[in-house]
Amino acid sequence: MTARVFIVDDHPLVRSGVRTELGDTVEVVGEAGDVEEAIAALTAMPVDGVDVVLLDVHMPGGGGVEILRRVGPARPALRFLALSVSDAPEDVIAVIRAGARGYITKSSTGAELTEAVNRIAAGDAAFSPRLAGFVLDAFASGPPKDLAPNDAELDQLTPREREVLQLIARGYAYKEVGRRLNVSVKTVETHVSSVLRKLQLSSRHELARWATDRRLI
Amino acid sequence: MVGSNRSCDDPLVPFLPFPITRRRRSRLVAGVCSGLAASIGVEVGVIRLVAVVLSLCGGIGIVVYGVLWLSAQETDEPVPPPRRGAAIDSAAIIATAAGFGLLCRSIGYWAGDTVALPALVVAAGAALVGGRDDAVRGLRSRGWPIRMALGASLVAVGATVSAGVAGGWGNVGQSALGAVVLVAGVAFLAWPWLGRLSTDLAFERRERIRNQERADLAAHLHDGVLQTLALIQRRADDPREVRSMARRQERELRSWLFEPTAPSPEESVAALLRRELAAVEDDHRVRVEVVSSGDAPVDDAARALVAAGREAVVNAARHAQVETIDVFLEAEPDSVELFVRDRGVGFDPDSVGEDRHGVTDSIRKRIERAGGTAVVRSAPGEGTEVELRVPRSNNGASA
Repeated sequence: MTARVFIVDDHPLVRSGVRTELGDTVEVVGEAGDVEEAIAALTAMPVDGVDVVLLDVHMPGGGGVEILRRVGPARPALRFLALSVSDAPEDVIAVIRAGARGYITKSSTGAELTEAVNRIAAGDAAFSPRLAGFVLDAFASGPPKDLAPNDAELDQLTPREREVLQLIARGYAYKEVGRRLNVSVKTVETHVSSVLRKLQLSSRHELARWATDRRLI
Repeated sequence: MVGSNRSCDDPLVPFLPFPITRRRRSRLVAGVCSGLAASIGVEVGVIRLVAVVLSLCGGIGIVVYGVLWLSAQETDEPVPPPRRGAAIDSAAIIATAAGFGLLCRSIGYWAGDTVALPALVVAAGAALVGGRDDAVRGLRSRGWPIRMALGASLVAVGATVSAGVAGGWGNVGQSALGAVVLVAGVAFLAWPWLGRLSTDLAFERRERIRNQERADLAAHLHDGVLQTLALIQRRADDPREVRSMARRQERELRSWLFEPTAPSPEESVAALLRRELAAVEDDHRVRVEVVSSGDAPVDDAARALVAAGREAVVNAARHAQVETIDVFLEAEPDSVELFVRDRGVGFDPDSVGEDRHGVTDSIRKRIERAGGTAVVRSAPGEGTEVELRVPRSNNGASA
């Protein structure tokens, strides 16, 4: 299957660069240069016309988060992959919590980008080493003690999930993680999707506080 | 001090060497003072003060005002702000008027101090408040006439009371009361001016800080980014060099944008590691992707960890034949771990050449001296990963 991609970035150079880097397994079906243009174009697209939206985190007019908030609820089938030069963890976590299924830096190679797009088109999550590091950091403090068991489950990673994230942070590809842990790639993908779900659904106040603290330190 | 250009087609008053029109929009009485101020280029308040002084001198000011009122035409033009350097002109005008006033007073051609004192205070207050129409509008909208009247009457009362007891010091209390009332009156008059002054000061300070930030940003972009871009254009035929320069610039800009201001590099393992590996990146023309989770203060063990990690990265840069090396630092409550991974040619750990053996040994020994462990995993064609772990000496807080 050829994944159909829509590129949103306010820099024309980045858009054309990404177009070039994306391999033959990906078809670019459109692009937009600002928030309003992207929302209009994505809303006008037929429901099955696009699989993955490559989303710049930082753009004038609210950035990727704004697009996720306004398009996401209306188009649940649409999947978003955040693409950014940003190193600021709070921005990355914010865009994931708003609904993006992965985060990859603009310095990634074409192969890494293509792989992430295909992974997200298939319904999985795409964690780059940097995102894995941020997430480990965000969940490092352990679960808050005053929460119901149900919530507490969402608020911490299982030992296996931690292991998977640590290997990704060390630069392992999903396949390599599977080989190292003697599990299938599918199992690795399940763990990563579960982490993504926790990241998006967790109500832990640490997650929010962590993001603000990072800016203050 | 007198602007004498006649280029404008303002209606002229025949006996004055400069054009004058009455300014309707900024008038208090008929706009004559505003017109004069606009022609000379000083604050309106200065002219009003002079007009009051001259009026006290047997009513000269009132006569002059009346003549100008009749001979000058009215206009809706606003009064321009004072010229640059108008302060000297203003001082000269006021000094001249004061001298004339004192002269008139000494020869008895004077309205009397009980009238003159409050009148002068009111005029001085008005001069301070400012006379340009924007200022006047602002003051009028905030109960200007009431404040003015109240201030003036307080000053009058205060002056009268003070003057009344000046002869005999028998009633000190009344005298003090007069002084208090006098001060209150002046405060009333000067209030809007003081308010405006403090607003201006705060605004100026904000502007100055903003300009400073803009200058810092411009300086940084110039010193770093623009220089690098120029270098890249000159060295465009050497892709490796270009990549290295772009990478170095990227790193600098990132640390400038995202890292806390003025960090002490000795405070954290992550900062120390990034600095060390930045140097390796430059020397060996590789890209080192550093990811970290948690952080720890730098102690001897951490220093050994970073030194060994650096060694491992250099090793990978020399032998692995890769362009990217992944490094992951994880600080746990009781230990700090460092992983250096490449996807390069790899090697068989059981049959390594002398040089590599030496390097892995130096890494291992360094870590073991610090009470930690070092594991090297590699296979031909599979890349290499070095895992380093040292205990945290303090049992302090988790990162």
